[in-house]
Amino acid sequence: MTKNKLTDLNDHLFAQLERMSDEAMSTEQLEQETKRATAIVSLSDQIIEGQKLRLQAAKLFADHGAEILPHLPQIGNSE
Amino acid sequence: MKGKAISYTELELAFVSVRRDLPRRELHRQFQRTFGRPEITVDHLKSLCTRQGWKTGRDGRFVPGQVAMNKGKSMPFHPNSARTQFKPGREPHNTKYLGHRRISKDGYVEVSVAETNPHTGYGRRYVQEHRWLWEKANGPVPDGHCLKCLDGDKTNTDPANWEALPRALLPRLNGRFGRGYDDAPAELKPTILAIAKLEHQAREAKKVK
Repeated sequence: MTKNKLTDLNDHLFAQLERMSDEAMSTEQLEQETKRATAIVSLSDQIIEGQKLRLQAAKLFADHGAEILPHLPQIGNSE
Repeated sequence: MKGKAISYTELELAFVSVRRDLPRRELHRQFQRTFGRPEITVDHLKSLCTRQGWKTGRDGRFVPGQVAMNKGKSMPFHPNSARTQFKPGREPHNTKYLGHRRISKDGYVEVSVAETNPHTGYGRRYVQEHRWLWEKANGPVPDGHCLKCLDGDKTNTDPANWEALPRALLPRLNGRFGRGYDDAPAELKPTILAIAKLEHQAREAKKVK
């Protein structure tokens, strides 16, 4: 497992936002940054989906307790 | 053919023709005074003018600046209906009070404030409470922006819970092509908002060139 947390993703997103709002960029640079931003967005969407799944699993475990653990192999094992 | 055509002399025709702009009753009165033909009625003269295409030149329109016919007159009323009307100073039994709150059908909180209602002239009006409070704290909402509730609870009207976002960003948050912002867990909401903002910014940057 990596050490990255959701807040780190937030920082990345805001950093990219700041880079894009830089006034002194040339058209080519801006195009570059736009491409990078689009890529970051599609990547972040995937990360968010993963996080949603994790939270759903955690909620299931909280609601039903240990008897549901066989259906959630990643909970308890990975952490 | 039914009946017999009424014959007019040249003089009679010329007489009617030069007086074509008169009301037909007045025209008929003058015609009878001059020629004395009792078999000719108002309708006969009217039909004659219609056949010949002699129009009065009046079309019933109001010209700019013309005074309305009922100017200065009071609205007619029946005493029985006036008897049950509200007298000045009386108010309906279900009149609300200053600061009354209600939930609109869109789920936003509306509050009654001491501001003249532009539609009715009443002393109080309902405004959206979240917007009212937010504008007091942050000034008017910029053009093309609207207030988005950050925690998904529209009844939480604390200005800290609302942020002015470009309207174009909203479909990136919710709806068919959105990311389900309102239903997302609270932990993910800031991240989803940041993603949507970045996507919006990238789109705007593409538009400029």
